[in-house]
Formats: sequence, structure tokens, C-alpha cells
Amino acid sequence: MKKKKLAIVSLMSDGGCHVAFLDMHENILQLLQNVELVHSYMVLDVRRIPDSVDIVLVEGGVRTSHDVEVLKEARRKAKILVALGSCACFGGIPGLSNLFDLYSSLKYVYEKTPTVIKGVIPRENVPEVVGVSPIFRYVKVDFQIPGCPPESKEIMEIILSLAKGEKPTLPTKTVCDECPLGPPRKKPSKLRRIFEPPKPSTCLLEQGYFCMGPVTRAGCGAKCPRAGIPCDGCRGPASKILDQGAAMLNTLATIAYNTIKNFNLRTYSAYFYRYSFASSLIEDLIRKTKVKKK
Amino acid sequence: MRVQIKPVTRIEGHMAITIDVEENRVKNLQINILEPPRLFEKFMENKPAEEAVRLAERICGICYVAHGLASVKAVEDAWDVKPPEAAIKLRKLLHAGGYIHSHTLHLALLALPDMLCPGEGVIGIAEKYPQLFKKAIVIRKYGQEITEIVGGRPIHPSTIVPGGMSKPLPREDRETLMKKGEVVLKNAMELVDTIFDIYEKNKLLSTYPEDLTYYMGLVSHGLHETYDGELHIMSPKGDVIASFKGLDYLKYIAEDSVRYSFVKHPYLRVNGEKYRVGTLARTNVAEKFGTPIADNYLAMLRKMVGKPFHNVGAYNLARAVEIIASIEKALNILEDEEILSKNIRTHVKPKAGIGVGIVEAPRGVLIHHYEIDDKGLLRKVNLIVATQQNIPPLERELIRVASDLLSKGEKLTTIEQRLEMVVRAYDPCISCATHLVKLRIVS
Repeated sequence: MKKKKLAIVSLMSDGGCHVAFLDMHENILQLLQNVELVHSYMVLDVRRIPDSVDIVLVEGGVRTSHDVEVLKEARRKAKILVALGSCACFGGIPGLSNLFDLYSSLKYVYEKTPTVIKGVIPRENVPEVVGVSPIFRYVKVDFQIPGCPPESKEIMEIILSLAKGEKPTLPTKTVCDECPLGPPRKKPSKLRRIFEPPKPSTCLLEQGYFCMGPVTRAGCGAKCPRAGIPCDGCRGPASKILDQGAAMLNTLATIAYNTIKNFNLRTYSAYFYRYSFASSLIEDLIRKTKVKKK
Repeated sequence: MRVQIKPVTRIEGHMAITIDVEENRVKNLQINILEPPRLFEKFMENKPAEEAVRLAERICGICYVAHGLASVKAVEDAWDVKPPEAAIKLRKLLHAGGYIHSHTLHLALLALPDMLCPGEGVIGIAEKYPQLFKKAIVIRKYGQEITEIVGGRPIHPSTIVPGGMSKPLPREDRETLMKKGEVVLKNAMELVDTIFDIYEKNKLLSTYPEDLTYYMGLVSHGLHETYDGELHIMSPKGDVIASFKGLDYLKYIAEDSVRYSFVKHPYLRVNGEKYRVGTLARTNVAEKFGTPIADNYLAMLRKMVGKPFHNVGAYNLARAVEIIASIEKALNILEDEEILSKNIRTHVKPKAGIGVGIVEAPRGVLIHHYEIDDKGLLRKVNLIVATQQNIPPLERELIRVASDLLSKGEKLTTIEQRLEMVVRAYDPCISCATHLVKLRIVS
């Protein structure tokens, strides 16, 4: 049987999903017996996406007009298009910048930081900058592999399953279900920040840390809580959860209200919407209000 | 005529090179960083400072460890926190893991195809040089295992917290890493020998430009340093013209934004000169590594190129030596009983303040500068990242190389290939630098 063709396309990203792909280590050789890697700017010399590719993994979300062009080209050339990682799936951490005015942000970064002497916002021979978006806002996405970055083993299994023409699935449980400390049996009485060390062997959420375990998709083996750090929700909303941040607010209810009333959305987005702000209901609402005002 | 190399491949991020050619001369050359600006410096504002570590790690999917460490050092500087010695040792082990993974990824998977199978990328190495490929896998995997064991995850580690580390190192994990480390060191020496051999046999250094620039890098008591120490600025002649720490970076580093690139161009504030960072700069500013095998290789390297050395191709050789040094350093730390200590976190109290965290990322000097308010939230963020500092000298070198090749009447494909080799020697990480690059040649 002819090997299926695989491409990895990168938009706005830190390249971590590419590294997670390479983290298959020696298993890459096994993968390459089943699929042919035809495009990856990081490890191959092929500058353009070849014309017909069976599986295209898209790493990163949309930030520029150039990202939009590449994404649409990827869709045209792909039989199956997969969002790889939480930036492509939900907007990821850069999505947090949608809470700031784009022009002021560019102005600060390129003109106002303490080391800048001659400042100017770049506009020549560079693409136009737009708000951060997950890729589903621009093209049809056939499958999502969430995570920041996704688990290497999961990437491999999903590619192999797609190459065989099967329909892969994601874990439906939550990070709490995989966590030796969880799930929480009671609600915390006060919220804590991670510079205070937690008690060992006790659920982090019960102790009051913003642990996103109850609303986040399983599959990582609860690596962070096992290392004494609350889950920050990098694998996005668990199955059947529409909005990761809203679901977490709901879980914490009044305690959350008492703590966050002193904070603004820019602060608590770092807890509740770290990876999913650009695909949240609240962002949708803000955007619609802005369009109405215009 | 306009020539564009877009994107430059086998680098980490999106960059293009645009060259305007008139009568076989380079009229203008631009490195266009197409990597989308993610504007971390702005959107980190208002975030709890202790969460900055995990946010900042996402600046780079390759040198996340370095960003995490620079970030936590900045917060600890602002809050006057001193983590326990055992935590610092764990962080240094983690840092060594990051170097082993990042340098091996670049040298064996991104740069080696230029030397052995041009045009075929990593697949060429895997198919035609399976033994070499397997060695590279073993070495890089070890780096990622260190990060996973000490950092909780192989990519974007989660255990770095203001005040120390969140997870002690279990004894059995330490034994595993020690045992594997010896085998990995042997593999790494074989890989490094191969790279030195290829360089000598093919006289590769002569194909790269010499560029007499200033250099900047961390040094601690004359030794090569990546976590502590002072930043030294070295002149092209090899004199140390300044050494500084912390907030004083503002006196020495300035940057200009340019219209045609998302990357800001830094230079020395004291004299307006371009400077370089990374493996070459670090091995220039340090007397030696302080570990025996790496110091042997360093002596070999200096025999080939002198000190300070300016050849761009020597970046790869210095990188090779740093792989050895990182494994030796990791093994030294692992031998120290103190890293098994449970006392790895100290009490932390947030307060208003300014903090600067400086580390050496695999690609060079990395600076995080935070202003924090009385609630412990970030108010202002400024970042100087490794790759951006190399872009201005790189631009100048590419103009020279392109002009030289054009005047010799070389084919466009040869020029493209050679320019890309020069770019790759720096191991540019574009996502970091825009926080970065594609090479474009348009006709």
C-alpha cells in the first residue's frame, strides 16, 4: 500500500508542537514506515506545501494575514486537516492578547519598552497583524489534538489512526480523573496563589489553588498536579464543556467571586482562560459588542 | 531583480530574506521576520507574577527552560527571594537538560543535513546515516528526560516557582539519569568527533564569513556560565570592555524597531556597535568550561580558530562542545547528594518592585525585566531574547556573502543554499525573537 503523505504547517506558534512531534524520538522511524513526511519547515527543505497531502497538521493559531493565506492553502491541499496544539484549537496563550487593544500593544512593544530608542511599528514587507484566532474561525477542521504541547504519544497514535482511514478519539474524562490527588471532595474556603507551597498528597483545588483539573480534558496523566503544581488547563475544555473558564467559575462559585472581584478580566483570564480565551463565549460577546459599536 | 528566499527552512520559526540585486551587486538586503508578533510584553501585564513563568515559557517551544528560569529569576529579584541551594542545583540540572535537547536538535537534525545530504533534510540523515541519527536521538532524548523528571513535563516544565522548585528529585530517578548519562556522554563524544572531522575534511570554516563583532555572554569567575554570573562585553580584539548585572543592562543594551521586520534590532548603547551572542560568544568570553572533556574539545577548537574567534561556521563547533559541557555539568550536579534534599522551597511574600532575570538561553543572552505592583501583578514587561541580538550582524554577513557569490557569478540556487547555511549556523529561533524569520528571494 502506498504511504499516506503527512505535512506539518506552522502559523503563529512557538514551535513547541513541532518539538512534541520530534519527541517521538526513536518511534519516528516507525512512524516514517507508515507515512511519508513531505513538508515541515523545521526539519525539511521543502518551502511550499505540496499539492495534495493526505494529512496536514496545523500548528499555531492565526495572528496575521500571512497566517490566513497559509491556512487556506493548507485546507485546499489537505484531505484531512488537523489542528495540532492548543493555539490551533483554541487560540492558546497568545489569545490572552485579545484583551488588549492591538494598536496600543504594537505601540508598546515596538516603541515604548525601556530599551527602545528609535521606535516604529513594522509595516513594510511584513504581513498585516490581526486579532488572535483558533483556526476553526477560518477553515473547516477535521480533528483537534489539544495540549500545550500535545502528548507526543497521542500525536503518533492519531496520525497512525488517520493514516489507516480510522476515526481517532480523544479521552473524554477530565484531568481530575487521572490525578492521584483528586477529584476534590469539598470546595476550598479561600483561594491561594502558587507562591504558597501546597500540602503534599492533598487535592490542590481543595486547598484553594486554581487547579483547572475538573474542567480540563484528560490525556496528560495529570503531570502538573503530580509535580505539585495546579493544572493550568492546557488541554482545553473536557468533553461536553462549552466554555472552559465559565465552567471553572461555576465550579468555584462564590469563593471565586470573593477573590476575583478585586481583579480585572486581564488578570483572571490567566487562570480561567489561559489557553482558551480566543475561543471563549466572553470573547465572542466582546467582539460582537465592538462590531455593534462600529 | 529581486530575489526572495521564503521561508528559510530548517530553522526554528519563520523568516524570509529579500535581496534586491542590480548589475550583479546587492543593492539592498532585508531579513524579514514573518513570525507573527504575539506581543507577550504587553499581554503579560496584569498577570500574577508567579504565573509569569508558565506564560513566558510559551515564548519558545525549544528553549522554554531558559525562559522559565529568566522569568522566575526576575520575579525573585523583585521580591528579594533567595531559593534554597538544592533548588538552584535542580534548576541548573534542568537548564543542562534544555541545552542538551536544543543543541542536539539543531546540530544533528537541522544543521547536519547541510554537511552530509544537502536538500534532503532530516529524512536524509535518518535514511543515509542511521547510526548518526540514532546517536542524535539518544542524546536529545536524554535532555528531554531530564526536563521531564526535574520539570514535571518534557516541554514547558511546570515545577519552576518563585522561591524554588515544586517537586523534589526522587533517588531512583537520579540513579536512572546518572546511569544513562554515561552512555549519552559516549554517544555525544562520537557525534562531536564526527562534526569536527567533517569540518576539517571539507575545510568548512572557509565557506563561512568572518565577522569581527563585539560579543556578550555570561561568565562566572572566568568560567563558562549559563545561570548565574555577570554579563561580559568583549571587543573584536578580545578585550572585556564592560561587565554588569541586573538592571544595569539598560545602560549597555538599546534596540531600534525597523519598518520591515517584526524583530527589534539591539546594539550596544555605549558605542552603537552590533554584537553577537550564543555559543560562539559564550566560548569567547569564557576562559574555559571547567569540565575536563569539554575543555579538551575547546582547546582543539581554539587551535583551529584562535581566541576570540569570529568565523560564523564556528558557531556549530562551539555548539558541539557545549553539548559535551552540558552533559558533564548534568552529571556533576547529579553526583551531588544535596539535589535529593526536600528543602527546595522558601517562603515568598509578593511586594511591589522591579526585577531582572538574566540567563544564557541555548541561543544566547536572555533578559526578562518585570515591574511588579503591590498585589504581586506584573505591571510592565521588557524582554531581550537571544536570537534578535544576532539579527543585525547576520544581515550584514548575508550582504557580504551574497555580494561575493554574485560577483563570482554563482547560480541562484547555490546562493540560496549558502545564505541559508549562514543563517542556520546561528540556530536562529524566530518565535523567540518576535518574540521571529523566513528567508525570501523574489524574482
